[in-house]
Amino acid sequence: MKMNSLKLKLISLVMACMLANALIIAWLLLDSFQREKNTLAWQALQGAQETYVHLEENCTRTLSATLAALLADEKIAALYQQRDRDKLYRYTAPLFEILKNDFQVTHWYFLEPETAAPAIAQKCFLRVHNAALYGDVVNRVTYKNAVQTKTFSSGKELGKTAFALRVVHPYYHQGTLIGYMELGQEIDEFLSTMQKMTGDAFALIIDKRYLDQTEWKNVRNRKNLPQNWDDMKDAVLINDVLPNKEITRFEGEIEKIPAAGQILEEKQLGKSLYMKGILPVYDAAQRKVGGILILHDITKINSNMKRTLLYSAVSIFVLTLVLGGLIVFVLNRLVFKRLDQMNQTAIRVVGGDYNTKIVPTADDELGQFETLFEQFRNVFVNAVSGIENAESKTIKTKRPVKKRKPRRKP
Amino acid sequence: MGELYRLRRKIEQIIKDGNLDEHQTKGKITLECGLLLALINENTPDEVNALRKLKTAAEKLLGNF
Repeated sequence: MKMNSLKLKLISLVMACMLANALIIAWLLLDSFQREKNTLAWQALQGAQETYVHLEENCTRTLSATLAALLADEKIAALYQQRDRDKLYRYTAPLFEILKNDFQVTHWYFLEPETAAPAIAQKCFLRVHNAALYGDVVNRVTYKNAVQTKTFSSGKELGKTAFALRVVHPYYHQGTLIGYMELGQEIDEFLSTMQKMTGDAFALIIDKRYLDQTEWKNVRNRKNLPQNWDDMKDAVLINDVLPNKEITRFEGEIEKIPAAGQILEEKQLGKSLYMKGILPVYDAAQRKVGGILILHDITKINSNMKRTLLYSAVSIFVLTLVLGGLIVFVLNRLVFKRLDQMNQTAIRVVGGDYNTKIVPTADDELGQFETLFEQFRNVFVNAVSGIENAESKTIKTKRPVKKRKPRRKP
Repeated sequence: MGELYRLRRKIEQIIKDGNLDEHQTKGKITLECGLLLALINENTPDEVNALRKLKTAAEKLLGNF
């Protein structure tokens, strides 16, 4: 086939169009898969956020109910009013053990009221969870809110090394404000509960600015945990339920995490592929103090998508070949074969074959041309035949006639 | 017998000897040189231009002519 033939040009054009079409479809599929993955990641983020809010609400409700029961206990109120810290501790410590072991309550405070003498006002009277430490001024937002509103106040607050959900309520006895009682629960447990509920993996990180480095290192030493203060630039890992510590890294700025969360990246761990995202964590003062890293396993969906993409690519390739072949076959039959026949006939006619005829094969544009070509062939054949006959006669006329010798008369 | 007619006869002889498709070969030469071989006869005058064209076409399509 010649490089400049119409057949080659048309076939090239058809194949180029089909290839472009295949590429566009492949690109659309890839784009659609990427969107699907993003949607799934967003759904995982939303699910985690809802679960987290739900857990916090439930936990707040449980702490509030427990707190209400403790506030109504006459014995505890009487001991507190006696101002005998040891007696109060001895009575409440066994109760606290039950609350701690069975209901994950990690903090229990008796706080002086703001109306007390200036020397003791707003100070901690007793930490049931740490009786040795008392007498410090309490400046937490939840406490201040309870002082201001004289009702339940709750929220997450950072200590020097831990993040706890706290509920504070004014402590009344016979209508008189005698102080405040506070219960708290470290939210580390949230992560494993969230993992059980969603199937995703989580890690809690806190902005270093809200933690005390020395205290942090001391606590890690006391708990025999590896030092991790310098693992990240601006944040530190508090707790995690992740398959690999490598993926707890977050190098962004916690303050810049959007309220709805943020998709960070895709992360390959062994044979598993994860979509990593982060949700902001606010404290009781509504400061963005940390984040929950979320790892959503997309291995299965990703391999399904890849398989679908492969099948689609193969189908498109085969379909392109089949359609391309079909178009070439149809073009060949409808156009090129007929053009070639006319071409061959024209050559043969001028070569002296006056019997080869063009038979129109269809009533289409090319058929009309075939009819016209056949009419032209007839005119040509008649004209040439006429000339040939005339010239043949002329030659015969011009040929010299041999003179006959006269017969001798016997 | 003119030179043009002699050339035509030579072409026909080569086609015959080479067992070539007569009408197709003649047709190709005709289209190449623009002279209808069927109309070349012994009385056809030998125009220099026509002779040259026919010879060139024959050489092109039949080889060493």
